[in-house]
Amino acid sequence: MAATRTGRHPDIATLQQGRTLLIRRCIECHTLPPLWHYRIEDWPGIVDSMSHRASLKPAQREAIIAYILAVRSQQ
Amino acid sequence: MIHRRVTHLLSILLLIWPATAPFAGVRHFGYVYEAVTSSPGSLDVENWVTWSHASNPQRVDEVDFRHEFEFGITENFQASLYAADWFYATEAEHSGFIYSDSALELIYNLTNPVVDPVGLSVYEEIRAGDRVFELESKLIAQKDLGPFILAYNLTLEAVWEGTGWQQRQGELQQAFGASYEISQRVSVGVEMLHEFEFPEWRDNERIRNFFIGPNVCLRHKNWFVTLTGLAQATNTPDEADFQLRTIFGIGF
Repeated sequence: MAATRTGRHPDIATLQQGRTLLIRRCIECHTLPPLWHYRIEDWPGIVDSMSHRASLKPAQREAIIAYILAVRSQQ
Repeated sequence: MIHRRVTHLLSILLLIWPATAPFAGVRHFGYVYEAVTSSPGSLDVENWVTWSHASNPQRVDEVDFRHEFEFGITENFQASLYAADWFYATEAEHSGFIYSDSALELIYNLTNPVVDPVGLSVYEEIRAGDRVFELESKLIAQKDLGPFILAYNLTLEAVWEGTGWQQRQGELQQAFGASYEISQRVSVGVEMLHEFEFPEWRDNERIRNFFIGPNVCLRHKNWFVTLTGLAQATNTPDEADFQLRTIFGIGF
């Protein structure tokens, strides 16, 4: 499993929260792109840039990034 | 009187709302509602302008304005206040700006348009003015398929109009919209409205209206603009032949 930006491996609850937030908050403004659409190293910056608009607290933002990185690591 | 009360209520809400509330979301359609609700704690202001044009000399052109404040309450629930609906009309006797009504709109989301077979929300709107009172209930369905957003609304309206709200009218409406996301900032699509009007809740006149037209949505950072033009495909003289709606939303 991919590590988060802090170097720790996320637990299942964090990944579930990340998925739930991804499919709820992000679609308020745009459709969801395929996760392979962007490079792994680009995803944290993409999520950071939109986190305020999506009302994401820091832990929620990290959960989304952790979920995306976990999915990408399986592809 | 109603307008003053709504303004007071709105002032209180804006005072207690977080000063740095994030953006509530983008409208991809001008006439069709989407099932997705705003995130908790979010606030945006949406200004609507709708121009209606009719070739019928008995009916005048009209420009309608709406100022909406949209609040995200919980993950599944949002509320909006239409602080003021007003319009500008040109008539033989007089022209000018006229206040129409204010309204409260509530939307509760039931299922998600990405992971569930269809995203569903229920909608209720209560509108009141000096010469109009209206209840509007809506079932909103949405499905996101890759870069496409498909949305369908089934709406039932009950309207009381005129002095003492003595004229009654019902309306059943279905609306469909499809939007394609060209890029992160631009979507284009099509919308259609199909209306069944029932003056005095009777169908003697069999009034049916159908409108169809394109839309475009532009968005960037904390704002968006959606523009929809609809042409009447039926031949109802009392309805606009063409209407153009712009919604400009900005988050704080």
